[in-house]
Formats: sequence, C-alpha cells, structure tokens
Amino acid sequence: MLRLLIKKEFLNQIQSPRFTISFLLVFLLIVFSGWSFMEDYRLRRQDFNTDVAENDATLMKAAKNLSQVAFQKQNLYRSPSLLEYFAAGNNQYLPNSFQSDVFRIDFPDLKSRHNPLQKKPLGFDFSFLVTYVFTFLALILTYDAVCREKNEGTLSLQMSNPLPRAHFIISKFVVNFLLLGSGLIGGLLMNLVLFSLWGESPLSGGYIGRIILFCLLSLLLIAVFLSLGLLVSTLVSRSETSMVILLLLWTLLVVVVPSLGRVVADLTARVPAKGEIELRYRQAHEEIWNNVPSDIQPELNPRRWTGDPWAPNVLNRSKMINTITARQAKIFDDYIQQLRLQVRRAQSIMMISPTMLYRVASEETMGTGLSQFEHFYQALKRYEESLREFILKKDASDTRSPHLLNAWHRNTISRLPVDFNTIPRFHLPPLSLKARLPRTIRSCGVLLLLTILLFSVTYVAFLRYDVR
Amino acid sequence: MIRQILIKELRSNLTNLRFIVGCITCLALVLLITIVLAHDFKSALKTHSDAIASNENALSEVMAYQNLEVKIYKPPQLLGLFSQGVDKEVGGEVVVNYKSSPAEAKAYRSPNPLLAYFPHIDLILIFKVILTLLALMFTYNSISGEKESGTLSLMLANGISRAHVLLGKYLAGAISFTLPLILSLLAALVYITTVGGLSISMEEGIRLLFLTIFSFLFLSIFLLLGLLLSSLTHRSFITLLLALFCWLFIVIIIPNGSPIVAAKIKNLPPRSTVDRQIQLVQDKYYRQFRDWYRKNPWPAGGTNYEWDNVVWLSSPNIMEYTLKTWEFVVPQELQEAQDIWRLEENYLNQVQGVIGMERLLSYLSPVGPYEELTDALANKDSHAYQEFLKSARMHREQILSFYQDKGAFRSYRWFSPYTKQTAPKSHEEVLQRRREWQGSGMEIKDVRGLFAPINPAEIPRYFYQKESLSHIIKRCLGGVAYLVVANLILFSLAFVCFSRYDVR
Repeated sequence: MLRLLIKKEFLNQIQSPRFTISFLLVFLLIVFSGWSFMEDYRLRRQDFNTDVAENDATLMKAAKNLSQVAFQKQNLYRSPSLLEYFAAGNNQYLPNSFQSDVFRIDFPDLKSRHNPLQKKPLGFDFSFLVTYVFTFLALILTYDAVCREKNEGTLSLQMSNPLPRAHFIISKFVVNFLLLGSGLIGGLLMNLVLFSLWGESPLSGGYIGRIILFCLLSLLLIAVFLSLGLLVSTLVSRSETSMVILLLLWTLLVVVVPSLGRVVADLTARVPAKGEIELRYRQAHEEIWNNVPSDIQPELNPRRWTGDPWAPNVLNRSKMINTITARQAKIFDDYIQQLRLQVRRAQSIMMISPTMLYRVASEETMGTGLSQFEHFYQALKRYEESLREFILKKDASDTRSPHLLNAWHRNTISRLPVDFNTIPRFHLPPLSLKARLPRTIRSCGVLLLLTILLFSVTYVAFLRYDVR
Repeated sequence: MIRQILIKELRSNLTNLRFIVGCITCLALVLLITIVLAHDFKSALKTHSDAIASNENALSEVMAYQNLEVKIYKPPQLLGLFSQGVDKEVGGEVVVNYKSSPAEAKAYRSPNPLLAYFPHIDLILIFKVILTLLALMFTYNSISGEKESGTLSLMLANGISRAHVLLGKYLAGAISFTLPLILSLLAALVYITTVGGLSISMEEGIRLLFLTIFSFLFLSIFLLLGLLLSSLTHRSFITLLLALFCWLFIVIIIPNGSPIVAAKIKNLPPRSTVDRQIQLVQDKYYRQFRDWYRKNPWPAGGTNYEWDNVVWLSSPNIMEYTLKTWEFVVPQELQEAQDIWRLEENYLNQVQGVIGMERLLSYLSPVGPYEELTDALANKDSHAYQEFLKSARMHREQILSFYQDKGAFRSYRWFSPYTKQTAPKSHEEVLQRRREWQGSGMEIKDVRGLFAPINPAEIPRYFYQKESLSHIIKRCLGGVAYLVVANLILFSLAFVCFSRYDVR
C-alpha cells in the first residue's frame, strides 16, 4: 500500500506546476551559482598567485642577509579553495591576509576585488541555495499536503480504505524528500561536471568524503523543513493559513535569526579596538622598560644602545626586548581569540535556527568561514615559529655573529646570505576533516533528531486529525 | 460602491489570521531590533563625542605646525536604525593632514573584522521580508479565490464595474498592510524617544515621513503584483505559487545576485594593485629624500634635542639646517600626496563604475530603488560616504591655506615651538637652557609646559554637513519614479487582465 501511495504522490507532484517551476528555478540558480563561483574563483586564484609571487620576490631579495630575512615583513595570504563553492562561510568578507615577521604578526586585513562601497550581498554558494531555495521549496511542496486533501475531500476517501495513517504521512514525506533530494544531488553533480569541463574539479583534491557529508547535511536540513511543512499542514485546516504560518516561520528561521548574529555578538561581548591594542603594546613596553633597576651598572644597563653588538649590555638588552616582544605577541594572540570568540558565541546562540546549525556544520565540513580563519591564524603562528627556528639554526653556524636575535637590532645576528630555497615558506594546508568530524556528526545528529521530532509530532497530530 | 467593496475587503483582511500573525510578527521583530539598534546607536554617539573631545584636546596641544593632524568624524545617523546602508562597512573617521589627501575613512569604532561573517540587520529588512509577504498574501486570491468560491460572478452580476472591484480590493489591501507598517514605525519611534532617551529632530521626522511614503509605494508593488497574478490565473493555488516564486526572485535572488553579475561585467582590480602603485610613488619620493640627505649632510657640531616630532632645543646651525630640510621636503610631500590621490581617484572612479552597474542591475527588482532611497534618506549610502570624504579633502585645503597664511612652511614653528626671534641665538645659550632644565629635574619630554602651543582657535574647524532632503529627492528621482511607475504599470496591467477575465 505504501508503494502505491508513494507512486500516486510522486505522479501528483511531478505533474503539478509547482514541480515544473521549482525544477526550472533550481536548474537556473545552480548553473548561475556554479558559473559565478568559477569566474570569481579563477580571479581570486590569479590574485593570490600574484600576491604570493610578490612576497616570494621580496623574500628572495632579503635572502642576501639572514638578519633581513628575520626582519622582512611578509604578506601571507589565505589561499582560495574550491570547497568554498559548497559553503563559502562569507570567506569573501573575512580577513585573508596578515603581515608578519619572526617577531610580530600585524592586524588581519582583507585584500580583495570586493567593491568597498557596496552592501555585502549573501554569497551565492551551494549552501545559500540549500538554505534559501531548497528549504523554501520544501515548504511549498508540503504546505497543503494534508489540509488540501481534506478540503478537496480526497483525504476522507483515502482514509475510508484500510490504509494506515502512518503510510499516508510517510508517502508524503518520502516523495517530496526524494524529489528535492534528487534535485540537490543532481544539481551538485551537474556543477561538478561543469567544473571538470572548466578544468577545476574539487573531486581531484580527494574531497569526496567532505562532499558526501555536505550532501548529507543538506538533505537533513531539507528533511527538517519538509517535516515542518507537514506538521503545520496537519495542524491547520486551511492551506492558506498553513502557508502564512510557514512563510513567517521560514523568514524567521532563514532570514531574521541568522541576521541577528551581528547584533547578538555586539551585545554579548565587547572586543577592544585596534587603538586599545596598540595602547596595551605601549604599556607593556613601558612597564618592562621602566622595570630595569636604577642601580644597575651602566655597562650592563639594557636600556643603553651604543651601536656595538658586542657590548656587554647587549645580552641583557636582547633579553629585555624579547620579553617585550613576547608580551606584545601574547596581547595580540588574546585579541585574536577575543575576535574569534565573539563570533563563535553569537554563532552558538543563533544555532537555535536549524539553518544556522546547517551553515556552521557545512563550513566545518568544508573547512571554510570562521574555521578557516582560525586555521589560517594557527598555521601562521606555526610558520612564524618554524622561520624563527630556521634563523636561529642558521645564525648558530655563523661564528662571527653575537647570536642575539631580537626585534630591534639587525646587527646582533648573522648577516650572511642564505639559500632562498632553504627558507621555510608559508603554506596553508586544507583543514583536516578528522578533527572536525565529531562536531559535524553532532550537527547531523541534531538535524536528524529535529526531523524525527517534527515527524513524530506530525504523525501524532495526524492520528488525531479529523479527516471529514 | 467602491466604499462597500472596500469595507467588505477590509473586514475580511483584518479579521483574517494572516493579518493578525503578520502584524504581531512584524511588530515584535521591529521592537526587538529597535531595542538592540538604539542601544548600539547610543554607544556610537558616546564614542563619537569622546572622539571629538579627544581630537579637540589634541588640537589644543599642537606645538609645531607639522604635527597638526585633525581627525574629522561623520556623526552617527539616527535613521541608520531604519537603514544601515554601507556606512558601517566603510567607517566615519578621516585623518586630515598635509601629507595625504583623504581617500578613505576608517571605522572609528574599529569593529571586529570577523563580524563580517554575519549579515547586517535593520528595520527595513523586516519590511522587505515580512511586509512584502503580507502584501502578497492580501491579494493573491482576491480574484482567482473569489472565482473559485463563485462570489466573483455574483458580485459582477450586480452591475458593479470591474474597475471598482479592483480599486476596492487594492485600497483594502493597501490599508491592511499600511497598518502594520505605521504601527511598527510608531512603536519604534515611541521606544526611541521614551525608553531609548533619544530625540528626533524635525528634519529627521520629515525624512521618516518620506521613508514611510517610499515604504508604502514599495509594498504597494507587491500588493499589485498579487492582484495581477490573481487576475492572470483561475486557481488561487497557482496564484500563490507564482506569487511566492516571484517574491523569492524579487526579494532574495535578484538583490543578492545582481552585485555578483555587476562585478563580472565591471571588473574591479584588486586593491593590492593600487597599493603597489602607491608604493612605487612612495619609493620614488623616498629616493629623492635620501638623495637630498646625502647631498646635504647633518651639520657638524651643535646640539639637537628632539622628541615627539618636535625640536625642543637646538643649536642655530641645526635649526637652519632643519628649516632648509623642511623647505625641500614639504613641497615634495605635497606633490607626493597629489600623485597618490590621482591613483586613489582613478580607483574610486572604477569603484563608481561598479556602483553604477550594480545600481542598474538592482533595478531589476523594486528592492534596488527602495534600498537606494532608504539608504539615501538615512544618509548611509555610498554617495554620503563619498561626500564625507570630499568634505574632508576640502578641509585639508583649508588647512593648507591656513599654513600659507601663517607662512608655516618657512618658519621654525613648522617643526619647533620657537620663532626666529625666540630661538636660542648661540650654541652656548642652548647648553645654558639645557642645564637649567636639568637643574629643575626636567626630562626633555617634560618641557612641553614651558612653551605655548599653536592657538587652537586659529585652526580651521570641520563641520559635517548632511545632504539636504531636497537634494536627496532630486538625486534619487529615478528611484522615486521607478516605484511610482511600477505601481501604475502593475495596476494598469491588473486592470487590463481583470477586464478580460472570464468570471464564470
């Protein structure tokens, strides 16, 4: 009986004008999103390559002198990723570069082709289509699933047959889920083929596992909205009322709640301004500088600088400068953590909406958005550390060097040339999925639970439904 | 007869669940957002007044003309609660000095750059999303629904003209969506002026009135769209589907897709390209300065005490050398500022091209002109930002004229608190003064109190001038015309379709 019901429902839906319109809409939007992403990705990749080459060129010039390598302010960039097509996580608006030498990382910056005088539109990535279009279609396909059948009188006719009510609801859910699911998978496959034809395929990077997880998340979000549509359709007697309620719920869950994130972030935490951080740098500097005992012998006084790197006080001076630098690095690190936590907290609160939960989980899976920024910053710190180790190692082999690496004096370490090819270079590896898998699975679990819950309530409501 | 239809429709709309749910949702969201944004606005006001006070304080302590750096601020705009525009992205603080021509403004509250992760929210968003849906819901079944229920043929059998039916339904729908619109705006205003403790000027009130009129025209488009679609189809179910797909395109897809297409058509070069060109200019001038210093080495002998970019005490030969140096450097720096500005101007022109294309494409949906109008009324659009920068550049010109009038570039006052008359006349006098300072336990940084700063009353002041309402209307006449004409066209089309409609 269930098979027959599914077949009937399936034929009903594909013959309906909403299916034709939805199919056309989805097809057009998927092609548009694929095309716009690929165009944008190629430009960003080109800009990234130019910026990296420019940075390498300056580093190569600096390689004639080890101390210059240490003091060289490098521009380090986050590389664009093909996985941003699936869930960009507003990567296009997040900082994508840092300037850094071995002593200090400067404030993050965004370097892009983005028009600075433009309102920031939502990215047209696949997760946007799932969040805004597929969930909308899910409601359109189900808003009248039960109440319309009742209004037309077909529900009582069907129920007069020995048909379990569960089968009726399951058939509605399964057919709509299959239709939207096939649209989603089909659209995704179509774009993957298009990407391959354009010479860029995310599959070549071994990202199949991530893409499958992303599809699973997207299907679960669709399932949540299908269940919601069925539930409201079962609870009200008129399809028009059902549609009004669902549309309002949709605008709240999809448009309004995620937009409140910025406001919630501002209300829940305060982040210091750049000026305040610079003030803390100065305070740290002065505190350490003024902490030198007043009765210290002049030849050992770290505050003195005669220009002679072999003077007896230079060791103390180096220690003092390194303490200042380390304190300032700590201030900066705390600042970045505050920036990150402010957004993370707001994200967690906004996860009351399943669309936000889906968005965050998709970004975690694809390694984009805030996760990528965090990964970028961590990679940068590791790089700074490895470059420092490299410089210390090279410096140790120079017998004419005082071996006192610090942020203020270039002549207290070796000034011998280094082989450019041996200098560590910054590379941002893709974010490992393994570490993020538990969080993604947890999000999948929450979405699944929500679907089951909504579906169970729908079933109970339908059991008590007056079909006459 | 219109009156009767109007009353009947109005009664039906107002007692309907969709009206009650829509109205309550809209009101609740508007209040919630107003509470949060009013709090944010108050904190912005405080930051702004603190920044101005700090700038005034800095201006009263300028000891040498070259250190004169004026920070000018665009005040927070109360109507920004209704429409955030691009303002929050681009900032409202400009540093004006002789060395550079202002080309961009910083966000003086320097927000968390990671907050770009979330979209902006304002009251207009609620109108755009909730009230447009509500407007569609009022009319999507006004013709096809009445046909389905058989009441349409009965109504027309009574000799009522079709124009009257259509007009009655339109007016009833318009009043129905105007109620939540006005109620929401009033609720926001009441909160702002009472609990929020903010005052609204007459000028802002008039702007708000215009904002309400434009919102009405915008929402009316959706109402008429519902009427038109309802006159085109014979089943309300089909009308609803078409209306919702149209809504999705008009409110979500086109406003978010058009900037992407505009960026493809008018490709903006990466900002780093301009930064590289600027770097080349800076390098060129750096080489010139270096060459000058090589040819004109620091004079032998003499003493120089310099701190915080001010020469506090110096031997006459060094004072003369420094003056000579600045006489070379200042014209070069002014020229450098001019060269850099040309590059920035070129980039801004390209940005302007992209904005033009975005504007053109955004007109595919009424959301485009509506946002343009509301942003302009709130003084938060890209034009207001560029005008602010323009006024900053004019202020820089005033400061340069002030320098000219004072003969600042050729004076000791440019780099020190001395004039030719008050400066030490000999090396011995310098040493004597130094001994006196040391004798009274003063470090070089403590001597500031011994000198008079530049008279702050003489320094040109900046006053922010908001674009006038008449100018905004004139500038955005295209947007106003779009909303009016779209209403007229949709009503005419709906009338034509309804005239040919088979009511049986």
